[in-house]
Amino acid sequence: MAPPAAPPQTNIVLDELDITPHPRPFKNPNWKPPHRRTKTLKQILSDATRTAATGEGGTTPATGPMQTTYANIESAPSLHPAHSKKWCDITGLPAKYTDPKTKLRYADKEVYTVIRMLPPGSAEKYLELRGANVVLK
Amino acid sequence: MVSKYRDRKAQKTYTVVGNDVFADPNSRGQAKNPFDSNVVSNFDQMEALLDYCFINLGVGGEGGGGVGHPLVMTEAVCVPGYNRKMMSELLFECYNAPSVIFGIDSLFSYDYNDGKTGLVLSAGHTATHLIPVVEGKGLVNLSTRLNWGGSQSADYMLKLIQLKYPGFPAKIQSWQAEALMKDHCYVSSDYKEEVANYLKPEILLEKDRIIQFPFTETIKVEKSQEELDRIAERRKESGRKLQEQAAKVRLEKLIKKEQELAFLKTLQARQETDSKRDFKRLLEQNDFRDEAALERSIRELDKTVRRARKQDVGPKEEAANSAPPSFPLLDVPDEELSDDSKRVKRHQKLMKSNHEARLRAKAEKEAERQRLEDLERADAAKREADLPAWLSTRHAARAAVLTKIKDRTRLRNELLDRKSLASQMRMKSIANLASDSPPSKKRRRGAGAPGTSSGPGGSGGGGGAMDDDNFGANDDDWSVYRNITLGTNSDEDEEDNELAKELKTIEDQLLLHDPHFDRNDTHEAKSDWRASLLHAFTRGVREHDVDDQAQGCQIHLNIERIRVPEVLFQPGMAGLDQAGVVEIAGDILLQRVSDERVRECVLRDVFLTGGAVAFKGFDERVRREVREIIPAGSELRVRRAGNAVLDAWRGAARFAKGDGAGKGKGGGWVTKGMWEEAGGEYILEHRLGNAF
Repeated sequence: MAPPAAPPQTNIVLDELDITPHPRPFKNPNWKPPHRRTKTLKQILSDATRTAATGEGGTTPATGPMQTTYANIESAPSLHPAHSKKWCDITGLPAKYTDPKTKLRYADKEVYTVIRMLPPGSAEKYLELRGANVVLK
Repeated sequence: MVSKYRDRKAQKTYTVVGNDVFADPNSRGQAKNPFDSNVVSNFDQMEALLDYCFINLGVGGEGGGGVGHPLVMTEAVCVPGYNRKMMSELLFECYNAPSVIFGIDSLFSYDYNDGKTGLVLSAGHTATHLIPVVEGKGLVNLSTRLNWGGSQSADYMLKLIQLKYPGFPAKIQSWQAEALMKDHCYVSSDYKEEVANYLKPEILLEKDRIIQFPFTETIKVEKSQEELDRIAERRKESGRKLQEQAAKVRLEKLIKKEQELAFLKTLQARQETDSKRDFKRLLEQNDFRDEAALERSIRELDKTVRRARKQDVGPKEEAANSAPPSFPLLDVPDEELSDDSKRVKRHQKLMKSNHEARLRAKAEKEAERQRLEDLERADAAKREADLPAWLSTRHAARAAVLTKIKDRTRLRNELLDRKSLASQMRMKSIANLASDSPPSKKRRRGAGAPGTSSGPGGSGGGGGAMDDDNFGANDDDWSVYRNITLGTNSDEDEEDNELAKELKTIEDQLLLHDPHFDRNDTHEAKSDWRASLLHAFTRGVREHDVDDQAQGCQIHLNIERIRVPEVLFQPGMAGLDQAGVVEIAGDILLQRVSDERVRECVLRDVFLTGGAVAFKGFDERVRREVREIIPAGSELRVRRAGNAVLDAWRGAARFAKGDGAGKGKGGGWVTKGMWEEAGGEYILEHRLGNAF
């Protein structure tokens, strides 16, 4: 019986690694996980701002003029002029030009011929890499 | 990484955690990360993760079920309250932890490296933080996060490679991209300068990294030299035979035609001698309607004979050069000859006409050559008379050929794209040819004139629209068939070759006569791989062999090596609208830390930790750029964690032993009792943790 021999073979490794049947003496035997405890970061953050706005978070004492939260420690957009430098989307070299059709930035004539011959869709992928693609909602 | 799934075959649920998920394709496919960005979002998976940790630590627990040890947990800077609530609940309820302390990983690392006052730059897996620390206490309210970390870098790397090699035979996995990034990327100390020169051959030679992916060699059956020779010989032999045969047939045809021509000419000559009626009868006998028809056929025949002479007479040239052979029997009347000599005579007759035909052909060829020579001489004369004008005409000719070549390639490329104009024209042509009904009046009027039927694509409508049998009168009409056939056919190749040849001759002339036109200007030199930037980018410094399997499976990493880590310094490169780490550091140091004395102390210890700082050159770059923004003369020291990845854990362990000794309020430990009292989000502030 050759075929049934194969699946246990692959399972040997997994059986070894599987922690499902392992005893867990460190766990509270009476513990039941609450329902719906998976929230995305976005949900968590929007919930947090909502409670802050309605003043429900009464337990949080003000430690300063403004509470530091996860959302507001995010760094601000760059104000440094040097950082708005443009790079070629294809090669990464300094880019002098922008293709008016695809909006791709490019370094020289040769790269432009490549842009002209890009298969449909890949110009968007290049733009996506730079976060400049158009997203239709 | 947690993978929990039910194997249908084994009727069993598997839970595989950590690096183990990569052991099996099934579990790999199901693997999920409990983190969303840098905070925990899926607590079911988090629970499995903690189970795995405790199992592997061999925690036996106490009788009532519980870990029985105080726990130190790390958390993100300014983690949302909800997450801490859920985590506390998990730790206290599920694992019965007696007490828990939450802290920030990079601060643990800093503490372990004996930092007291400084700026901690922590480049983590999903985010990068900068936290100023003063006298051992992390100033969380002054910290800043940049949403870019190692995982995003690896992703960026993967996408760059995929776009660079769209038709790559092997599928590049994300873990491969991560490994490539770790092994080959480094931080450029001066990005702008370095990237601009990266693809110069002498620099590229040194910095280009070639990654060979596995490939299977297709073995070609090698033929021995002897065999090859034999095959070539056989081919040549048969070719020669065919040529000979063809030449013979052609010659015979030519002779026949010539005889016919001669006969018709005598016929024409008899017009003068014979009476009108006789001549007419003679014409009718020979299937001619009138003299004009005769004349026409003579003219046509003459033309074909001339043409045939021109192209013929290759191999037997030397025979013609020798003295004209004699044909003695020809002058002897048939009656005086025996049967045998009659045969010889017939042969001689053939030979004679043969010979004469050849002579005539030679003369024609000579005339043709003369004509070409004349042309050339005229050209030379023009050149000598007015060099600039001649050059400009030649340049114009060259440009015309170049555009022709370009147009052809463009058209071919467009035909590959289904949505392009050229393809649509082609479909229209096919539809026109396929439909039996005559095109509508309107269309005919639009495209009726033969002139409009010229030009690629347009001829379809024009040719089809003309009244029935006129199709084909214009040569361009036939190109409709060429327009609708796709792919490379030999016809097109031939034309390409011809264009290339034409270009070559023009360029040769220019090279010879134009002092401003040198080798580097020729089309050949320009399309040479050595001059190609993109060749350097994708294929490195050596010539690329399309047929080589090994080279087909190679990845060249060059600009990517500095482009990927550079995102931390210029997040805009990856579409992240945030300031880079150095700008953030400047903001914190110069704007937020108001006390000048403190600033000086902070500058004396800029501390780098986290996986991403492992890139070579990271500390030099930070040192260089921070130096640019701080007040002149300030003392600046930048250092890297002893072990950028593991020091956070070590710091946490030391912290638990040291500060945990107090156990009470001062240490920051939250006991189960306190948790029950104060709620899920509650923590005690301590020097390495978040603020409450």
